[in-house]
Amino acid sequence: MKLHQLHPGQSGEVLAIDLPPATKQQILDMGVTPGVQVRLKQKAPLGDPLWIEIRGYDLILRKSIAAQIAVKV
Amino acid sequence: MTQREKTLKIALAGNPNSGKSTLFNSLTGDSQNVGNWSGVTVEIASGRFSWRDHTLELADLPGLYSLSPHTPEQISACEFLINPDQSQLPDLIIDVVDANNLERGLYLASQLLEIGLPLFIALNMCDELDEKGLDLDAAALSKLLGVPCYKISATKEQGIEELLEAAVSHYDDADLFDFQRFSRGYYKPEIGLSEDKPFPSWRWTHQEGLRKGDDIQEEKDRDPGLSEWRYQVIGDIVGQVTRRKKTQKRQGISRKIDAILCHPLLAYPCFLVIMLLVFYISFGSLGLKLQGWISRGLAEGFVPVIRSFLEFSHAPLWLQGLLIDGVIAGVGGIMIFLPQLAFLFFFLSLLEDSGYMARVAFITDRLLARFGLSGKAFIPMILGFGCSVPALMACRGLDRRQRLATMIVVPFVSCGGRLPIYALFAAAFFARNQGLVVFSLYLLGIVVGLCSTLLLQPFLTHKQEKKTLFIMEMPPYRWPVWHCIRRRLWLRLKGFIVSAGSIILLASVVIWFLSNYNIRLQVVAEGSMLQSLGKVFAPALKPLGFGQWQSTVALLNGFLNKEGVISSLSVLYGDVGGPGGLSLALQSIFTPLSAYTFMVFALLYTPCVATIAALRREAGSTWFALFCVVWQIVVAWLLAFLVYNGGRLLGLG
Repeated sequence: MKLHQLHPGQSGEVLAIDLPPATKQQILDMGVTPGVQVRLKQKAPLGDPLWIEIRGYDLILRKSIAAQIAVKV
Repeated sequence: MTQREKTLKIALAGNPNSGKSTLFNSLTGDSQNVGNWSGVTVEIASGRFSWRDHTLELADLPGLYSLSPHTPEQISACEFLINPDQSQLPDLIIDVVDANNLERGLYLASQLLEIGLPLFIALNMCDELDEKGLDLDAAALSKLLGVPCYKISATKEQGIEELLEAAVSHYDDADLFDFQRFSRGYYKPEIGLSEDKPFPSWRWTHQEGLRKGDDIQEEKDRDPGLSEWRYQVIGDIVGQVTRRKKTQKRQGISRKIDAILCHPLLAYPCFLVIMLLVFYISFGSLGLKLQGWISRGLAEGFVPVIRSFLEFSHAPLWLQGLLIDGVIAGVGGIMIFLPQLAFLFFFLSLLEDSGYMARVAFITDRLLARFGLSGKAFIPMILGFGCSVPALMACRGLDRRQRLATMIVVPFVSCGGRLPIYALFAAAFFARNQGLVVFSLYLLGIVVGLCSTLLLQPFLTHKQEKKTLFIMEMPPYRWPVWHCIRRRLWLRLKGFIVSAGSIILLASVVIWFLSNYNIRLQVVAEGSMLQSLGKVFAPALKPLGFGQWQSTVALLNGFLNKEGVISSLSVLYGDVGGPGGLSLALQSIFTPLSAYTFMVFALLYTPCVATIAALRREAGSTWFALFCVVWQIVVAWLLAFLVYNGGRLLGLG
């Protein structure tokens, strides 16, 4: 399952990130690392981007990036 | 003390939005070198201040999430910290960490540790921690990290004395720092760290990367295991030093506000209502009333006093003309718009500081994606309502793919300098719907800018470049801090007042002179130098409905500086303080349709000189800047032509 497939309010654990190195590094720097708990808080009014909760703070990601992040509910 | 004569160089580093600039401002006070325009720090601002016996030089760095930079502002911050030239390095680093966001803040700290410079950690916003019911043990954290940590609150100015005291007296105390403690004891052979070489080679990767710019790591996989490892260790540490006392309440409020402002259906209407309200208050109600008082005071109080004084002292006629019809009309004609500008800037600061700007980026990202931009690009655009120059500088916070595209939009966004034009024309021709008319122009600026960037997109980016990224932290709502807003408001208004006192003053005198004298320096009513100049360009504007030489000259002057449009009109139409006289003069020349066309043209026609310079500097290309100027003139003319002739066809003329 991918991060963008979570329902609003649903939590999951990050399993793997499949992105080009530079983008992946940027995501990792923000604390999205394998093993971390994430919660999809809400989607933007037009369905993209996503508002997630991670490591005690709120992060905004585009759906296209979230679709490359595998999660386990 | 040995450092009595020495200036101590301190770098303020930390995550974006962790409060570095607030700390910087409260330490340096109204120090002269502070050039921080907006909440978004894009330049390394430095300020000196003396503290006890020492002179401290503080550098406020743009926010960083890690030492892998992705934008020009982040590169400049990294270069400041990792400089091969040892003499350029700061003496010590104060890492400002948002105590509410400890894990991500300490992630950067774990990298800063490895630079090897004396490091002090300022745990900021500890007052919010109490409200959240969390307890943080700074002493335990110091021990675990091997560097001193202090709790502070930059907005409430708590704990700052202790932090400075410690930093100044102990910065060369080797016992305080144990830079390897973090990596020691946690070392993991499987990701390439070892006891004798605990620091990964990231420093070198960075030095290399910094020079190459944006997409450094594209070809080099920088061992993702390392980031994972850092977060793992930090997670352990944070677990040991924080304790939850009771349940939180603050986030509940933030969530309730967002339930409305980011609601799937209500988000856009709320945004429009908020912006309309800002414009209504600034231009329609309060701002207008204040402006009326000032202009009446000027026309009925100040001008008669000066006039009778000049007559009493038998000043020559030319001097009376110069002072009253030149200087007072020109500078006064622009200063009366100060209240409206102050309201607009005040509300912009409020939006920036409350955290609503980030929500706007969130809800507009999808719309901007169609134009090849991201929600982050919306922030420079809104800052552009104030002044295009800092807005263009804010584009440094964007990645390369959308930087140029955003820089095309920004000069189209209506800045504060253009505001007097609308304020005057809307009051004279659209008295009933002033707020709405002004709002329509602001909207038009953004729409035209976005369409421009869409049309020009193919020339800006290479085909292989993928879509823009949008990764942004969403801050919680915060109460704006009054003294921060006041300081920023003053900085922005000062720019306006200074330009009125310098360039506008000069231009008013020059225009007064050129419009009253002919080439043989004789006083004339017809055939002045300016009239001849205006008549050269006037035919080009004739199809737009305002071919008078006066408005042509005013627009030419607006090239230097947009405020100049109205100050020139005041001088040319002999307005003596107060917009009443000028409004009447304009009403006899313009029709509502040609007035609106004039506003459209003045909105779009060219960036001012300062903006052109900023375009050139920020894009690093003279051609880009020149292209923007030509493009805007062409677009402005075509649109104004459409508005004017379309309006006439519809029978509005």
